[in-house]
Amino acid sequence: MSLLLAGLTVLVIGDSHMATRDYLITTLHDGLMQQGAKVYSYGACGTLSGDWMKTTKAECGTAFRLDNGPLRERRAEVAIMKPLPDLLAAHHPDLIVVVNGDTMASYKAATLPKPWIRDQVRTLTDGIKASGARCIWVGPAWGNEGGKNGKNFPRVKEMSEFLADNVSPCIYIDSLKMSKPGEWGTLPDDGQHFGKDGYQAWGSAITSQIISSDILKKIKP
Amino acid sequence: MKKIVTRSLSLLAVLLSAAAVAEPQLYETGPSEESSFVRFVNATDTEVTIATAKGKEKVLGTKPDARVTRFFKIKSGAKLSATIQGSGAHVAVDVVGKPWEFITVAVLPSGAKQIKTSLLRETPSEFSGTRASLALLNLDAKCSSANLSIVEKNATASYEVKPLAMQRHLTGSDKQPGAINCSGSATAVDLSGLESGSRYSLFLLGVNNARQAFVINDDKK
Repeated sequence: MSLLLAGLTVLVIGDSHMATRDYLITTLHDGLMQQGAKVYSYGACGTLSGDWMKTTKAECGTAFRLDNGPLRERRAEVAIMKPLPDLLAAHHPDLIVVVNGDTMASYKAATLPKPWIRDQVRTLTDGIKASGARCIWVGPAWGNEGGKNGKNFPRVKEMSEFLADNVSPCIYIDSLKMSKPGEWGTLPDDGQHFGKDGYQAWGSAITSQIISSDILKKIKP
Repeated sequence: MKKIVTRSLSLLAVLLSAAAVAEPQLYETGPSEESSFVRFVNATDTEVTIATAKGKEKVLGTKPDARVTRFFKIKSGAKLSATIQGSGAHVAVDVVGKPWEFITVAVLPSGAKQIKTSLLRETPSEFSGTRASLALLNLDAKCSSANLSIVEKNATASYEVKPLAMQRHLTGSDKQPGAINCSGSATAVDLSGLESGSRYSLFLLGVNNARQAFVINDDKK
């Protein structure tokens, strides 16, 4: 149990890494709860940062988990995601944790579309800023090269560095420091989504970073 | 043979372990298409009207805020054709942008009664959520080198811009006065409104034999 996290309400939102059982919606959510936080998690597969500011359909399913309640998953056909303003009104979080990066990295394109990513990120950070909640942004992990998404190490590094410079006022958590490239195994022909062990390691590492984060000292009364 | 069987079983075990987590549907990462961005600036002493095949005509005035359009998104590689009407003269311009390129179409005086255009192109690589980004665009043909220095605690952003060219630097958002120097002649600029994380353009114009400088927020919608 973390004295700094105990009693805080944490809202976690994210992309596909948060939208399937045994992914971060399981391991990070559990990790934060074990540290004494009240946790609300929402995942929407394939979503971009800016999507969180509007009501939209997730390309490949959603999932949510309300504190110690069961995980609920929605198939793509009925996967309407709740926008951040609605989630803020429902849960009044002290801290927002954003897990997003892979969906915007354009792994197959020749160049990283920085202006477009900045626009997506700012749409969300402006919404977070207006809410007054503190924020932590978790960047992409290494994964493995190849797969249908074309994930590759140089691009994920470039993407992570770009996010680190552009997610203010959120504090950036660099997932690339949590493992070596390719260390966490990914699903066959995927490169991006991990097996159970990978998500367990990633969720634990993020939790450790959050409870050691300076931001908790600022938001804890 | 025994080694091959053992390796095959190990591989199978890894695959089964990874597959124990439900697979999300994969999706393309990044934007659906590459874009470019175009804006128009009136550097003449009278109103000009911009007409394109799509959209309403836009009238650009002679007050600083009215001189510049916002950036319009166009498909990268596609041609944007515009007709620009000044007082008693008109000129046509075609613009084609590279991926993630920002193009400023400057409308300039040409002799006493004619107008002409000049394209200033920028593919920015530096973006920051914690610093301001300021470009200096020298649209005064009589200023052979527009010089500006913004002094910070640990660094100085120095601009030296030839006519019909531009330079961009990241800088702090400290409130401070500034001046653009052209061959010993100083034009005061107000940099007090710069905010960290935002992008700006500082235009230097020569209108009716007088220089004027003003700042526009590039993020304006």
